[in-house]
Amino acid sequence: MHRRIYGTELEYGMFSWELVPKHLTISDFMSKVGDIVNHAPALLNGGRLYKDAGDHPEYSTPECLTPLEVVLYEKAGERILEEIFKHGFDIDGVKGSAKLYRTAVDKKEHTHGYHENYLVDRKIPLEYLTSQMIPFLVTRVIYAGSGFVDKEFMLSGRAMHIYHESGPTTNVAGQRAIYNTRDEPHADTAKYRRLHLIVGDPNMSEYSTFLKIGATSLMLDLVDDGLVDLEIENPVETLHTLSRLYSVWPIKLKNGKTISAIDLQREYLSKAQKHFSSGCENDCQYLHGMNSDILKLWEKTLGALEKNPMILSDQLDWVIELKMLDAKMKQKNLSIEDPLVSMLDLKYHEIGEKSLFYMLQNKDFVRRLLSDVDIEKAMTTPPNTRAKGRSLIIKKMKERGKDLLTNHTMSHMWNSFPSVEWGKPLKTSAPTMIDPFETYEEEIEEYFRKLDLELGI
Amino acid sequence: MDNVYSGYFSLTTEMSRRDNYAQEIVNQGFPILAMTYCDGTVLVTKSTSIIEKISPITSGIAFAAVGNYHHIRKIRSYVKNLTKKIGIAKDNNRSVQSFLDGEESIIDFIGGTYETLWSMPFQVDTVLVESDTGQNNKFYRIDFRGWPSSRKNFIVCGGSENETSPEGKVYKKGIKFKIEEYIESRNPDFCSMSLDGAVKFSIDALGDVYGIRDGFLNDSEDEVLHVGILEGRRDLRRLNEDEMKRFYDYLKS
Repeated sequence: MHRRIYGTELEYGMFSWELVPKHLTISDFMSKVGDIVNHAPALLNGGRLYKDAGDHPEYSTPECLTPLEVVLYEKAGERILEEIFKHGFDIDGVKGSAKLYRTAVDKKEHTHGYHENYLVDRKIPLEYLTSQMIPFLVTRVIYAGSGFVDKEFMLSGRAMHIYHESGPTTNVAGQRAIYNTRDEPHADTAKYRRLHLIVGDPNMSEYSTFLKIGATSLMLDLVDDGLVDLEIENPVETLHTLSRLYSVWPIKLKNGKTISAIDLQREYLSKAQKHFSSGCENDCQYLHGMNSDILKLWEKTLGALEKNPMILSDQLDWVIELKMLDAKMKQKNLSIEDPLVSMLDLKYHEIGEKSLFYMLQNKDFVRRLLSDVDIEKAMTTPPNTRAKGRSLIIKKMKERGKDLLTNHTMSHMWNSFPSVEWGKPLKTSAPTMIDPFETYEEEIEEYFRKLDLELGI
Repeated sequence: MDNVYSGYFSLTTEMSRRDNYAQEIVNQGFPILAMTYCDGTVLVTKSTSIIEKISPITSGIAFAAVGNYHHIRKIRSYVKNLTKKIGIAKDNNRSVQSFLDGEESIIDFIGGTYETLWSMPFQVDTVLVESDTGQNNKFYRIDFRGWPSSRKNFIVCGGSENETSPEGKVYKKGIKFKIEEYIESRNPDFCSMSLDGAVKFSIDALGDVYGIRDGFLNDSEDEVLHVGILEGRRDLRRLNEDEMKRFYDYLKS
């Protein structure tokens, strides 16, 4: 069992009715309101919020220690965005409100990224890591898909935008890959690699996110220990096919045999069960309880997917959405090709009070892992990692009247101190924060103490 | 919520897709041949996996299955529990027929996977062998749809079925049919066959159909010959290494 850092980046789709009659585009809108989300490159919870290349808001969770923390900080980021946009906007006299969507694909065929990041040991040969992760990533769509409608119901909207097995591109149509080769660990590059996955869907359900991140992390542990050796034929085509099926999910292995995606996932599960049955030692004991939770949920989910996916209609995103859409279609006598059903799909993925998902969740049709109190707390409290140090820097800077409106690049913010104009050259050097497991609180306190002396504050 | 099919879900297509898939999984497995010999019944197959394709249920009754590993485990444990539940484990007049006659029979269990629109059929071909002596041995097969059938003297579990046209004309013989044809054409006297003779005959029958008697066991794939024996009403036993050696030698001969 390996200690790991987790984090996700979520791109949000945006739409505003008020902009349409004024012929303003989302780009115009974002260029005006970009400052709203860009006002603090780092948040008090250690995460980051910024305007992404596609002119949409993007939120990055802080460095998390467990899959459950990822779920928590994803939801916290969503609340922060909700807070920012809840009072609407006023651009050159055009007043209105914007809707935000946590969806893989919007109705204009734009795909919004959901990038998962895992810190992995650089000792794992890249070829082995790629070849073993691809079958897992392809088949996990059966429980990690968030549901999507485009004249038919699909488990994953993102799957149809994946065209290669591995590649470096994240934002060029037709170039995205199952395994993204971007390798910026924001840590000791000799020791770590960053596994950057762009194949996943942004899930609404806490259970789906937890299982997706949790199972992937256990799979990485198996790969790390060299315990898996399975490859499938035509992974990209298989991903597209699996996304269009609601049961069985057959896949072809490299040895010519056909098995179900459920059984392939079961292979990984049983290996993980054996591997983690002995518990763990030293610095990863905090993961033991979490791992057994993930294993139980994984086993239960695969069993239910085989028996009857509808059993999971209070947990898994695509099943929740399918059940909701089916009820609406029956009620209003609609076919799946009806544009209204497509709108309902988008409405399901909306964030805020009017979201169909949150309506279901508030009426207890969807099970939860987190409480609102936890989420609210996570909006301003960082996890016990380097994010804690980053949060402390923000607080210290604010105390000294400095907002981090600086021109440093985003990547600098993760493992180094932000450059702030103090009015004169400084002798006190800022500590580097290369280890994501460290909180750097003492170093930061010490830095600011020296800084205050030097500046005479 | 079991009848979700509002325009995007074709029940017929979905069911036939799952049937075809289950059939494909069963076809992928190497078949098991169970047949009568002078002291009881013998079951022969080969396997690369860790699972025991042949296993005991209770004295005089053996379970054999080809197909999905997880489903085999599930059905086998169900059958074992059922044995205890309906008391045939302690009953001297035990019989497989009591499984099949019971309300909660194994047929219901396997066929019952179709209870919801979403559920999949078990991807398993199952055989229950009840041994007595000679003519009284019983062979029952339950396919993945839960359809039961029985035969005298021998039964084949797993292997592809005949491919037929819509009019019912066979245009491609299945492995199962070929094995049955091989055995019937030789018309052996099962009740007078020795154990050695029965196992060798089984190896020939299975190997001949695949056209690879020499390759019946492929060393590179780490395949193992499995032989299970029911002697009269005794528990299933497997041959020990020394006994197996002579069959391995026979395979190489």
